[in-house]
Amino acid sequence: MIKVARKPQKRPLETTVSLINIVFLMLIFFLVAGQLSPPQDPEVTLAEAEADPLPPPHALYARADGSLYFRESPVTAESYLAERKAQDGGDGTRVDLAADRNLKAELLLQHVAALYRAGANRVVIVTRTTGE
Amino acid sequence: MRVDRPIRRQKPISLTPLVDVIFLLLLFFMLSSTFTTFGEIDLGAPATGGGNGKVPEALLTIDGSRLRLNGREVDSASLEDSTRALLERDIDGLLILARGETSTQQLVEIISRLRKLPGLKVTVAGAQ
Repeated sequence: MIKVARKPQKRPLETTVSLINIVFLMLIFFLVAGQLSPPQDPEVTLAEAEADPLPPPHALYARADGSLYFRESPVTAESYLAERKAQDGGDGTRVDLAADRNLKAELLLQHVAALYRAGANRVVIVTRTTGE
Repeated sequence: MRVDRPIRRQKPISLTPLVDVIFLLLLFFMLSSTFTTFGEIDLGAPATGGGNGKVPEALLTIDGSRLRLNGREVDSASLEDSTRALLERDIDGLLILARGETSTQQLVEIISRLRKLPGLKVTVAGAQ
């Protein structure tokens, strides 16, 4: 018996078009549904409460142990305000304070008082809104 | 003699660079976008020493999960009702005092619930 070498079957070129379609759809989904956000502190879980909506803030983070962090480096209320003042040159300083949900309320209020003392005009607590 | 040029078949455009770019865009938007919705709660400026502000007429003390409204213990579920009863007696200034082991979550939740009541002015006692 003679073995006849079979010609290897040529696979048809997979169409990339369907791939592109799906990737396009995902791209549009993320463009429409997501909001660009400045990096968040992974250590901080925000408190949940219904409140006025706020775009993703460039916040000052207060961790559960009571330390303040801005851009992942420890700061104090005074040094943070001094840096902010140097950046945008003075008044109208509004501070978004993102506090961990397990932070003691006393420490939170101390931070708020320290920020006002250091020259902030308005201090706002950042929360995570639930539902809807 | 005229020579007819051979008719050039147009090759289909290669899709690979397009896919590359779209993939990059997709990655960028996936990694840099967030689906969390944020809210803001204003704690209000600390009272100045002038003493010209209106004196709050009611006091809510939060101590962990225990709530005391004007010294009387209040159930968390009936907080709105008790506050509404105060409003009906024209008491519309409420001061919140956080004591002991109260966490930020508890404080923030109470503030956001009370701010929803129309006509009530909620202030938070600051730290010394």
